Amino acid sequence: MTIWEINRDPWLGEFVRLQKNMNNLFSTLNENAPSSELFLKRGRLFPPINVLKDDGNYKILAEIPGVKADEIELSVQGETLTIKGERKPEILGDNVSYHRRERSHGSFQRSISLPEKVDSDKIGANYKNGVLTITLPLDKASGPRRISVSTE
Amino acid sequence: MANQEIQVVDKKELSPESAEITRNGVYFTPAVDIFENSNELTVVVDMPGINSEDVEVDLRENILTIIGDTKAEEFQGQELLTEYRTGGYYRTFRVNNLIDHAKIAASMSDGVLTLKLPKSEKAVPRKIPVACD
Repeated sequence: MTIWEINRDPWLGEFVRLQKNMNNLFSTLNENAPSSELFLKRGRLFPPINVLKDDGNYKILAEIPGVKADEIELSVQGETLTIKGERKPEILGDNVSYHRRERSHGSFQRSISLPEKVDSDKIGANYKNGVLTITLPLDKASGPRRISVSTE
Repeated sequence: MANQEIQVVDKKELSPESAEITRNGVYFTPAVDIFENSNELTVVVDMPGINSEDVEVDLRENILTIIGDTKAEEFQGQELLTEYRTGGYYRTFRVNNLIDHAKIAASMSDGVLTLKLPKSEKAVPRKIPVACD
C-alpha cells in the first residue's frame, strides 16, 4: 500500500496512525526491557510502592529512606492497608548554610486497597535499609469455591 | 513546617553522557543534602535498598564519589504495580574546601548515608571505610 492512496481518505489516515502507534508499542515490547518507562505507573503519593504477588502472598515494597522502623504506623482495616509516618528534617546547629537541599521531608499517609481478602492476623512487615516490605498472606477461606450444579 | 506533606520525587536514571561508570545495571542519581558549618561539611544521601557494605565512598583530588551497589533480587511471581525502579546509586561532587581526609566519617542507617567531612589545611587522598549503625 502506498502512502498517497491512504492520504486520500481521512479514515484511512486514522488507521495508519493507529498502525504506527501499535508498531511503536510492539517495538518497545521487543526491546526486552520490562522495566522501561512505558510500564512505570506513576503514583503521586508517598511512599512509592511496588506490589508483587506469588502463591498465596501479596508483597508490598515501599521506599521510605530515613525513617525509624518504630515510627512507621501500619494498620489494616477491612481490605485497606494504611502506611503512615513522618520523615523528620535534619537537626542543624548554628551557622549552617545549605549547598544542596534535595531530600524532602514531612508527613505521609497512604492507603492501599487490597483486591482480595487477606489474613490480617498474619501480616508481616520488615523495614531494612530504608525499604519497607509488607507480606500479606491471602485468606484461604475466602478463595474461590467450586459449586456443583445438580440436575433434577 | 511540621505538617508539611512529603513530596514524591521520581528517580532519575543516570544519563549516559554524565555516567563514567563501567558497570552493568541501572544507576540512579540519589537525592542529596549538603550543608556546612564552620567545622565540617555534611553530605546526606538517600539510598534506599542499599546495604552498608555495598557503599563505596571515595575522595581523591577533591572529587567525592559515592556509589551504592545493589544485588538484584529475583522474585518469582507477578508484578501487579511498579511505581519505582530499583538499582544502584552514583553521584560525584567536587569538594572545594580543604578536607581533613583522616577524619572523614561515613555512616549508614535506614537507607540514608551520612558523610562528615571535617575541614582542614592538608589534602591527602584516602579511601573511606563505611560503618554500619
